[in-house]
Order: sequence, then structure tokens, then C-alpha cells
Amino acid sequence: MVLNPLKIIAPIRLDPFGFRFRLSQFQKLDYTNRWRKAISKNHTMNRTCSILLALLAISTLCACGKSEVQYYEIPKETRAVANADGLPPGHPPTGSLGPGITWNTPEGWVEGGSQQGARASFHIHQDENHLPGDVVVLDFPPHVAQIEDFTRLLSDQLELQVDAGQTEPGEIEIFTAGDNEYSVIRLTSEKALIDGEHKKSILAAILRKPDRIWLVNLTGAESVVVEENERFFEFLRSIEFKTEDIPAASAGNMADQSLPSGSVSNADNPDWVVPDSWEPGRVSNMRRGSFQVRGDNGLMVDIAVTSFPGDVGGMLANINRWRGQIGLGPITAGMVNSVVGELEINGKSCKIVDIVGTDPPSGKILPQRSLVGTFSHEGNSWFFKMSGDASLVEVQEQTFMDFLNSVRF
Amino acid sequence: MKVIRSLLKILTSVQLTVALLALSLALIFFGTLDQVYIGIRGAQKEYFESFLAFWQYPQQWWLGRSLSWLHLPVPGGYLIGPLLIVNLTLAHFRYFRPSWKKAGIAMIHAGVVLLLISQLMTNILQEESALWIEEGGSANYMESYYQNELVIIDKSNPAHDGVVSIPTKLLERQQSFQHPKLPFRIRVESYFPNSALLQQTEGGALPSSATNKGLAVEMKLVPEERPETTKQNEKNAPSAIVELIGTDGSLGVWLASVWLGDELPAQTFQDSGRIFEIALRVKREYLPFSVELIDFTHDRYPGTEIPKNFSSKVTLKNPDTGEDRQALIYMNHPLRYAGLTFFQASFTPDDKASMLQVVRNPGWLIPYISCTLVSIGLLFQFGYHLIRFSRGRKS
Repeated sequence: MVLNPLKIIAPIRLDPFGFRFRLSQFQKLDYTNRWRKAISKNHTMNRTCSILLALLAISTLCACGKSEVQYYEIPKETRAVANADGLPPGHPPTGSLGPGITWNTPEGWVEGGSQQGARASFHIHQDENHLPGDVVVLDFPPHVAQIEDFTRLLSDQLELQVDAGQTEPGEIEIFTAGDNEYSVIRLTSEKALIDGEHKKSILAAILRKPDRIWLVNLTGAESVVVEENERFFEFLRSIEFKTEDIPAASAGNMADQSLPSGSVSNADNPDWVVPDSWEPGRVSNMRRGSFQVRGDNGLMVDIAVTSFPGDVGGMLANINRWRGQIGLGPITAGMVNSVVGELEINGKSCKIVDIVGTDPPSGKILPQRSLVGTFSHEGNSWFFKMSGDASLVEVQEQTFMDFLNSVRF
Repeated sequence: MKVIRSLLKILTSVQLTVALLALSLALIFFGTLDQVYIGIRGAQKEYFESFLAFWQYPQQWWLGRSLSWLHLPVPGGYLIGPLLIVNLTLAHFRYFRPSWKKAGIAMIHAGVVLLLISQLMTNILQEESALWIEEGGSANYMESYYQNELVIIDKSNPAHDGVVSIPTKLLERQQSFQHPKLPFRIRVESYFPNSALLQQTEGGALPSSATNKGLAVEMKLVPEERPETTKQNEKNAPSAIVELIGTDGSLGVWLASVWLGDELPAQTFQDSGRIFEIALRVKREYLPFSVELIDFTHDRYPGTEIPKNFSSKVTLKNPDTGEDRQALIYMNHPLRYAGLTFFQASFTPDDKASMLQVVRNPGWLIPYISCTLVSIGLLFQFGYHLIRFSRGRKS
């Protein structure tokens, strides 16, 4: 009998998904062993496909509800910051710290791991045998701090007891790179602050320019700072400033920008009128409203509207928390009445607390002030809080009060 | 044997196919009705991710008060879907005979089965998160829509933070956690999937909290359980009371809650010479790359406030691969990268920040393949019969 290949090949080609073969079609034919093998192979395919399908279903179901304890490592600051000029379209290319300033990255330094307020940051991790280190570049308005202030801030990081006024001039080296004269500070902790085994060191260079103060800061284990010493100065030498382009605005303010993926309910917000001069502020999980005001020379005020169930520990606890945030110590219950004022706003009682800091708290250059209006509504406490550099809070005080007066539950 | 045969007969019957398709319609109908009251997520969970659902006559409807006792059982998605797969597959093996004539039908069946499997895979494996970015800023982690995590952050290393993340799902069913990266054990005293924080007052009705460390003590806070919500405009706010037990004894009983957010100081403590932070927050997933928002555009039709287009111009930076490229994300034009799909999802009222919905769906390609299969199958089947018909007429 003559074999008609089409009659046999067609079903094979039509069976890409492992369909069952109709044996009768072949049984009518005088097929050879070759075709028998083909049929057998197809049955194997059927079985293989079925097994694969079953495995797929089982593995899919096994993955159902997968949740387990995880461990991962993240840079100290995980949110990047905006450029000082806040103009993304002109975002500086790699190799630039912002408009008007360029540098060469030393070997072994990796750009990234942005830090709040930093103009640039680098991570140093030569290899597994070496401890890591970090370099950040920050800038400040010219009037906000003296060298001694930086010494004190850096000492705080190393848990060193150094008063600003007691800094020995001999501790500050002068390093000249072109027209730039840096004041260099070297500090090492007394305790083993890193993993409980290594002392922590800081090598900082401060450059005072007419319109900005620049701080370049290398932090890491003592051995890392010693090893990176030459590269650090090489980096300083490579920095070039073009003063005419340097923006007057302060560094970015975009850290901690996690917008709400939904607060418990947004339906109950009271009405308020936002002053025209206020910009939208940083957003976070707990804020019902967020605004900011930028002043001259990098001054900044943040306005936050938050709501919590209950009275969040009572007025004394709240006042002491706010005092702590601007570097003041707690007060006693007997003093609460003397620091709390009361207003009636649109039929609601509003308690006003005004706290003025005396010294800049850790991490701040200027004394801070907080002005808070609190409402109690349907079992929730509403806080309208303006805080920031004291001088700008004073300027914004009346605007904030107008804002408070517009709140209507 | 007889039983198996009759069972196979039922499972391969076309009546079962029709019945299952009709029940699918009923499922969608009742699920949609209930979605008004329990939200999309609730409806999905109750109706489509269950074997059996019960639809209750809504109280808001006419005669609702007297008819609200009525609970109608509706077969759930997990019952109808697999049954349909089994029915179609077995029917195929029972009835199908390979020939050119029926090749189209085979492809249509394969496409439908593949579509059902892909839906199951999507349902189980798909993860959705939100990535918020402000203009000029960048982000390297995304936040889950519904999941939360208890985190212990080791802040001792100057270069990086070590994060031990425990999904809150585990807090519901596990009492104790010991992780090799932590020198202490975590014991879960109580967990509240949704909660409010109330003030504890002297002589007040609230029970005294078991906490003895952290913000709960400083602020006299007591968590109170609230019913869980699945509504679209609401979100659960979980809280947990946990005790940390070191080698030298207890490190305190702490309250961790999503209420204790960025506005409050971090809860930190020391153990074995290391500094740790404890928090309960929206679950984060860090990315090995960052997405920077260059510009967010919200176009409106001229002279109106009616939205015309939303788009985010972003720069994607991957330090591992050296990638630094721009992409425009807008409606129906997502960015696909590293197994993730970034959709334009939301934005702030001032148009200064954009939210990208980030979806990880390992089976995203399967629906495309199945639809292609069904389309080719339909074309083939109708085309084949058309040609045969026209040939028959000619002859």
C-alpha cells in the first residue's frame, strides 16, 4: 500500500498542544515503525504536557499567599533629593554637583545613596575586605554658620563632647585647591561606634564662598578615612565652581516624600483656605495637608495638618514632644496653662501653642520655632503645625493664623 | 468504574459548560451588586477569590429591612474557574478528533483554557504597588497598596541600614520570631489588623496597655481594634504590641502602629552595642534602580477642566547596568522594566507629583498569547468553512 504522507503528517502538525491522537486513522494505514514511533512520541508529548500543566498549577498554588520574613540592606537615606535649583529639565549630568559646579569622581567612589539635603553623595566600598565609607557634599547660606558650628555638629555625630567655643584653632587645617581655601577638620570618636568594633572618623572640608558655604564630608571607620585621605583631597582639587551660576536656593527638600497610599479616610477633612504664598509641602502617610514656605537664604518653614484618634496622650505629652523636636527640655503639668492659649474659630475651640527654641537642635543650623493650633473634633485631635527656622516662622505667623481661622469642621 | 464513567460524563458534558458559564454571569452580577457596599477589593475577595459566596439582600433596597435575612449562595470564582478548565480540557480529550476541519476549534479551546490559567496565575502571583515621585525627585522603593510590615531596622552601620521585615500577615498566625540578623527575639503580644490609637486616662474606661517602652508609654496610647475595611477609599491601619526579648531578658514591650508615622520620633533602642528602630509601616519593596520624575503633565481640553491626558516623563537609572534613559509613561503606555510594569495611575491635585502603579505579573504575556490563539482559531474556523462553502456552491 502506498503511504500518503499528507494524511499522516497533517495530524502531527495539527497537534502542537499535545492533543490526543486518533489511532484509528493510522491503523487504517500500512504505517512503518517510523510512524509508530511518531505516535508513541506524541503520546509522550501528551503525558509531558499534562504533567507540566499539573506542575504549573501546583507551583502556582504553592506560591499562593507567599509571605515570609525578609532581610535586606538599604542606603542610609533611600530617597533621592532634588537639585538645588529644583529644575529637573536641566538636571545636571553625571560629573556635576549642580549648576555651576563640576568635579571628577575618584576611583572606587560610586555616586548614589543620596542623603537628605545633599548636593551629591558617594559611597565608598573598595572590596569585601574593606569597610565602607560615605562622602556627601552639602551647601548652606553664607550667614547661617561658622566653622565652629560645623565642628560642633560633626562632633555630635561622633558623640564627642566639644563645645563650639572651645575648638582649638590647631585642629583646623587649611587646604588650598586653586582659588579655593578649605578649612579641614579631622575628628575621630572615642568609642567604637561602628559595629561595636571600629572607631568612627570624619574628614570634613569647609569652603566659604561669598554666596554659599560648602561642606564636603567623608565619614566611615577610622581606617577607611585614613585610606581615602588622598582621594578625598584629589576630589577637592577637582571641584570647580562657577559662582555666577550658583543658585541662591537651598538644597533639595524632597526627602521623605512618601505620599499617602491612603490614610484611614480622607472623607472627614475640614475645609480650609490655603494662603497664596504657600507651596505644597512634603507629603507623608499621616499628613492631611502639607505646605511649605521658602524664605531667603534657604530659610524654610513646614506646615503640616495631621489628625489622630483620641487626644494623643494629652496636651502635656504633645507639648513636650514638640519641645523635644526643637531641642527644648520637657515642662511639667503645672506649666501647661502658661504656654497654651485658646481661641474660638468658627465655633470650635482651638488651643494654640507657641514654642520658640533657643539653640539650634542637632542637625539644624538655626534656632527653630513651632506654632501649633489643635482642634478636637468627633473624638479626633487635629493638629495644624507650622515649624521651621524661627525668623521665618515669625514672618509667617499672621498668615498661619489666617489659615487657622479659615478651618471649618 | 461505573461511578467514574458517569462522573466523567458529567465533567465532559456541554450542559456543564453552559451551566458554568451561566453561573459565571451570576457571579459577576452579584459581585458587582455587592461591590457598591464592600468595594472592589472586598468584592474580589468575597466573590472571585472564594469557593462559595453569599449575597445578602441589601438593607438599602426596597423592603430591605424585611428581606435582609435573604442570603443567596453563589458559586465563587475558585469553584467555577477550575471546573471550567477541567470541563473544557476533558471534553476536548473526549470529543476532539484531530483534523483540519476542527483545528480552529482546538485553538479556540486552548486559548480559553490558557486565559483561565493566566487569570489564576495573575490572581495568585501578581503584586501591585505604588511609586510616588515628586517632580525633580526620584524614588527607589515602592509601597504596597494593602500590605504592611513590622520592621526592625539595624542603624548601627554607617554605610547602610539592615532591615528585617515581617509581613503583618505573619503576625496574625505566628507568636514568636527569631531572625539570625537580630540579637533578640520578637514575641507578638497582640495584633490588630485595623485599629485606632486612643488615649489612656487615669480612671478611664480603657484598659491599661501592656506596653512599657516607646511612644505608647510617653503618649499614653492604647490601640483599639476596629473592623477591617475593604472599601476603596479606606485603608486598614494595623497596630501590634510586641515584646523584644534579648539574651539578658526583655528589651521592653513596644507598640508599633502605622499611626506612629513620620510625624513622630522614631522608636529606637540599643541592644548588644547596636542601635535598632522598630516600626510598623506600609510594606516597602526597594528597587535596584531609581526612577526620577522629570515632568508630570496633566493636559485638559481647552477651556474646560476635563482631563485629556496624564503623562510622566521619567529617567530610569540603574547603577548596576549603567542605564540612564528617559521614558514617557502615559495612559495605556506603561514602562516595562526588570519584570515590572509602571502604569500612570494618579497624581496630586497641584500636578507636582505623580503616582505610578507598579505591577509585577510573571504571566503578563499569557493573555496576549491566548487572545492570539483564539483569534487565529476563529479566523481559521470561519475561513475554512467559508472556503468549503464557496467551493461547494461553485461545484
